[in-house]
Amino acid sequence: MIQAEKKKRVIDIKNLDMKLKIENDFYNVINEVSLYVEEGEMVALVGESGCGKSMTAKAAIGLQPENSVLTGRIETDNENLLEYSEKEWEKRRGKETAMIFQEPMTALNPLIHIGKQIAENARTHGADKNEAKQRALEMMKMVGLPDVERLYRNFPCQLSGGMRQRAMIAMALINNPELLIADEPTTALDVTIQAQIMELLKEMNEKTGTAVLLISHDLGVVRNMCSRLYVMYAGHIVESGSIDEVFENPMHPYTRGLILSVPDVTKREQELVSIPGTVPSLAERKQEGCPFYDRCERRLEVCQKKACEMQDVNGHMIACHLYTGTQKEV
Amino acid sequence: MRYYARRILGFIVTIFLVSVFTFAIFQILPGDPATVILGVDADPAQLEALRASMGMDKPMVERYLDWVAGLFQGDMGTSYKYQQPVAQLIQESFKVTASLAFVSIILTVLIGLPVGIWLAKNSRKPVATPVSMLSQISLSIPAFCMSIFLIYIFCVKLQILPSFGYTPLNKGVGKWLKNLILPSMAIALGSSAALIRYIYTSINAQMKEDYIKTAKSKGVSMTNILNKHVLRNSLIPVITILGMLVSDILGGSIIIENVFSFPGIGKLLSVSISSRDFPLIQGLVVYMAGIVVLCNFLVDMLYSVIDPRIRLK
Repeated sequence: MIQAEKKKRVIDIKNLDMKLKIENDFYNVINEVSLYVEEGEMVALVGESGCGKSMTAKAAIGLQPENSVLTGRIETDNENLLEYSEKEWEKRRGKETAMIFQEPMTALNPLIHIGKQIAENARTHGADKNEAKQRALEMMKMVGLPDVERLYRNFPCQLSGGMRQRAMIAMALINNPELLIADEPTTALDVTIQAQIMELLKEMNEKTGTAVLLISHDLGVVRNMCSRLYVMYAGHIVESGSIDEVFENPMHPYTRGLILSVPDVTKREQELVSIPGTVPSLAERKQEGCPFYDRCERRLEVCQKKACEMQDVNGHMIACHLYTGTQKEV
Repeated sequence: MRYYARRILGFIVTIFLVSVFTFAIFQILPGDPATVILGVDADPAQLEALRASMGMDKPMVERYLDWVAGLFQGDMGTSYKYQQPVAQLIQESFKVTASLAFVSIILTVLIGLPVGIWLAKNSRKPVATPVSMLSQISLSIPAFCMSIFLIYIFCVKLQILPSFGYTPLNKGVGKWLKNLILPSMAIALGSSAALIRYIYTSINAQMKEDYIKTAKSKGVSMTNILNKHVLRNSLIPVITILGMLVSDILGGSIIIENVFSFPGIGKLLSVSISSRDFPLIQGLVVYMAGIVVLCNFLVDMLYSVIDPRIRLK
């Protein structure tokens, strides 16, 4: 059997820790996070609000908050991006790594023409004025914006939320980046528009080969879009694997809770399931034991004292003592 | 278009309300202008005759309508003290005050804008502290202290600038400017300090906006983010403060004009009040209200030029 050629990882985060400094105290935001995205692939990072997804995404493009301290490695092209200077980041951002955000309504400068803002990304990375404009118009067509010549000269306030997010995608992809980080790109949109934007992301991924790291709390969306999945809780990756495996056989109690809480339209009068409790705030997070201990329905004695390392169980990675085999439930 | 129509309508209504209010105030105020002119010992018959000639014996509504009709023809009545048409007096003083406003606004912008932007760019460096302190100090010094201080340096010690008086523009730009520099500086030092703080705060607020994150994610450098994205956005509050400043100075800076013996609106106002020159006071109040409303109107128009969200609504 011929082994498939090893694909390039467009981003490879290894044991990333992020601490936030707030009034002389340090708080752990991300703990030992490892994740990678291969070229052309669509990968999801899911979890509830406040579990560190967005912070991970920001760190991956060098836009982490100024009061943060990062340790670990973010690798690509055999370089550690954590060692990048601001100048090096400026060259990389928008070119090799691009990002789109949750709020298309505020993510665009209200005083500058849409087209010019899209073209700016090409301009910043070396295209001349005409070329940048031509490429912007092309991208605008490609993401399905109508009447692009006219739209080029429109202001953000003249566009709907969905159109603005399309414009954001055109802007992000204009330099044909290796990786697009999409931070909850549809959360702020109407449900009908959400599907369209997700469809567009998938389509663009197939057309351009740009890998996508999709950050979402919507598992239903993720399932149809991505090939692999990382589940994050309170700053930790608790489970990861291929979409099909994780959905068919979720193992971590948190992942199970998440999947169960997706409402199923085909089952009427089904009771809505939710995971009891909420993600602990930074100040409430424990220093030892499993991060999910307080909300876990199947916690073990050992979980209180010792967090489980990520381990390979039945083909996907999981951090849970339930599957180490020897422990009793409390 | 509806935006402009609404603004113009608002402009007219405000002017009307101000005229009613102004007129009413001077009807309520105690004191009889005829007595002011002729003195308390005047012959009652003479007083009666004067009142009749000034139209004071007519009912209030009729007098208001007469007055408004006059306003439309540029007739604001005759000053008791100067025995000249009020409109003419205001017009002449306006030239002086407008010159003062013009030069001091230019100075304010020339000092305030670059320093404010510089301060926002360098707020974390240690050099920012003395600059921000200096602006704080010049903001807290009253204008008349600043005037006296400037007179002391430039007129008494250095003897390079005149300490009082006004030369009209048609006698030469140099002479005109020479007289204007000190009073304008006295105004501009304080107001540019205010402008600096406004720009600084405004830029800092804009830097927290989402679109900055977007620009950063495109790899746009900090300098370009500031120049191409932030500045125009932070101009909007700055225009507001400039508009207020212009209407403030055009309304007559009573103190500055007195210190530098400027025959401007402020001077005219203080004279008219101390001599109970009702037609003149009334005319000045209408003028000032008109200036304020006009400045606000222009500021609104400028907003719509800068911000498409207003224009396209």
